Amino acid sequence: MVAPGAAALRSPRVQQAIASYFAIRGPHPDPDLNAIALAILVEDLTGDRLTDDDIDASSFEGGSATPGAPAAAPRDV
Amino acid sequence: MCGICGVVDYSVTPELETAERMMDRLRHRGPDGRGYFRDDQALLGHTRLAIIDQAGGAQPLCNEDGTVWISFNGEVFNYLELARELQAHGHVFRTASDTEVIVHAWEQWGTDCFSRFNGQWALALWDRRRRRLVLSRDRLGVRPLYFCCRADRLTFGSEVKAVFADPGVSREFDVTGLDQTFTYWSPVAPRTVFTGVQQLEPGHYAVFDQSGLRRAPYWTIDFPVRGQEPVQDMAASASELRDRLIEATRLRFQRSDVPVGAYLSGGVDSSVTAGIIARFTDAPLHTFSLRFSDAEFDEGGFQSQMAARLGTEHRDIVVAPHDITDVFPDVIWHAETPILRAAPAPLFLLSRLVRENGYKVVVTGEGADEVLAGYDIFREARVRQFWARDPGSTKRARAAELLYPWMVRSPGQAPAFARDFFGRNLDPSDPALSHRPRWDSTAVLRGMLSAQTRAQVGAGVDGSDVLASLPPHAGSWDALSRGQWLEMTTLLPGYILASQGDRMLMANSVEGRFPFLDRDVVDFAASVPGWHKLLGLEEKHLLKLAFRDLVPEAILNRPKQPYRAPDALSFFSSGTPVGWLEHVTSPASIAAAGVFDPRQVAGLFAKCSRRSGAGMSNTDNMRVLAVISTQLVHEFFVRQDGSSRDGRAASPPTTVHDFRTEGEASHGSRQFVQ
Repeated sequence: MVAPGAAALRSPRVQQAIASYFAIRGPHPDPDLNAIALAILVEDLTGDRLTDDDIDASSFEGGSATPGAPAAAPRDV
Repeated sequence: MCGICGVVDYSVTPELETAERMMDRLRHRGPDGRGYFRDDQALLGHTRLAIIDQAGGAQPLCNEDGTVWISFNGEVFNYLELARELQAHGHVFRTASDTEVIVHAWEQWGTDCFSRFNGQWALALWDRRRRRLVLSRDRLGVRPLYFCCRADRLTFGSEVKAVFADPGVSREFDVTGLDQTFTYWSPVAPRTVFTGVQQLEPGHYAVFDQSGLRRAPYWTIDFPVRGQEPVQDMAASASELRDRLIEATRLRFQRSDVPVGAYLSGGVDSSVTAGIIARFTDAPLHTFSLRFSDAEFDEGGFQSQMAARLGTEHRDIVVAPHDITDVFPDVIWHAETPILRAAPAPLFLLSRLVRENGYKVVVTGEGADEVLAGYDIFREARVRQFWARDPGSTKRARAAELLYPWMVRSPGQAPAFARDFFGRNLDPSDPALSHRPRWDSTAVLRGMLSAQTRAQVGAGVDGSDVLASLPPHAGSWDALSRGQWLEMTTLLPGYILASQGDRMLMANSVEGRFPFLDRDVVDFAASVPGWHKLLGLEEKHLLKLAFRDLVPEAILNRPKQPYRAPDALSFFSSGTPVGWLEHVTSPASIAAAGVFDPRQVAGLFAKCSRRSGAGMSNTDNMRVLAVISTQLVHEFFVRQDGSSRDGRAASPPTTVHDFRTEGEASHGSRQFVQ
């Protein structure tokens, strides 16, 4: 199924997953490959298929920001 | 950690000489003592590596009234909790060992006891009242257990060489076992590469009595329906994983009466386990690492960084190609099966370093890549699925560049590469989608087989034998879960934990402990959504999130480097093969083994000699290792009988419990102090 691309990207669950991703891994230096990496993440998470227009650097602008990134677990070792 | 062996025979009393030969072949697994139990039908042998209750834990040992006897290899890490529970049921303990807990647990719960154990084990129980033998093996196959069953007689051992000490067991190659090895990288349990010799499947127990042999699982790997995983919140998952892994590591570090060291590979997994241990001891932690003289394989910089951060007493060994050649025959004698990489050999040298430094237990990061999705095979599968959703998309074709950075330098190749790599045998509904490329690329080894072997192999294995065991509801799992299931039922027990794990550690009498394979860690990791583990193409994401305070960022964010060692280069760097290699790969030896086509082997080895083993393709490296290791297996276990290679005389048993009612007199138990 083809997703309503931008809407899928804006869902809180996807945004949280992208934030978690960037909490560990920085963005790919090539914006196009960065968009592909995030598209793989989004499609796996949602089960939807993005269009080539959705798989675009502009769709993921701001995706490297980390609002809501899960905190490291608190227990001391 | 120890060696176990034995014979149950309902026709004749098992011969003591056979048991002594069996124990002798397992002495590397247990240099601290040996003993046996015997009655009219059963003989249980044991070689001991004393780790828990060094004074009182000699084996075989029994329950209160001597009706249940055990020979045990491994650890039950929750034995203290189980002992308390069993004492509450009225069981009386004579020792402080985890072995005795198993005996009482068997009495209390029967076959249900195995699912209560959190550990790594292979064991044999002889129930004298019911006249039956029970074998059991841990959930994921950390500890090995082989047997040969013929009518009234069953012979078992920790290693095949012990089973071969029974003169009635024939020694010949199983062609299907070889074919599985040349496709999946190892035989798939219960099969081995030897006809008539089986391995007990991980997570199973077996019962042998006068009705025959029966086996059943007490545990299977399972995953939830995609989208219905109980914990969806990533932070909650990370917190729970952290708690469970800390507890798993604590158990493996603290439940030992001898010092425990740790491996540091330079990657995330061993950094996490060593990091957790470092917080549990005031004494300096001793860490051990493997380095390579060839910078292509070396991870020394990351190892030093982590050791410095933890303040450990750190030792390493630098392995050069000729070191691998020197030890390779020993490696294969211990591995007892063909291998397609030289990678086990350096691990043999590493465990020797550990033992030379006075340690006999190490904690390692083994299992993380399977349990928490660290392997490239999972990332490749995800990219293949991504591409398959729209094969015409030029954007999707570039996804290969995320897996293989070298492609960024040649972007024009990406579409053609994508069609070739992603499109070959791509069926999105294939439950083995993740593993098909590996199996297909490995199966080219069939092209090296002799005409006779090829005829016996026929079309060869194609994955259907493995997939036949996939649970019927696996279609509802996440695609990643199906890949994990395949990896955890084939490569993990067959190669990673065997040829690279148990065998290379026990060759030097060192026990490995693996927190990532803890029962509670495995069960939890299987229960979380796939995207928590493999987030997009970010492998082991959950682990990194859970321990990012413990691991330096340089290690956390480094691209994963698969553990590799120089392959063909190790054997041909001098241009001329060494003596043993020339012998086992001579045309006469190749013809005698009958597995490979002598002309093809000659051509391959001539190519290696011309190039001094350098610049060989991945396929040729596999071919070289397949031929050399198979020929050595044939030499040691088919042409010869698997006897020890060191020529040392056997030491007498220190523990004897002989209860035969007929024949030579020796009734009762004796223990000797060495």
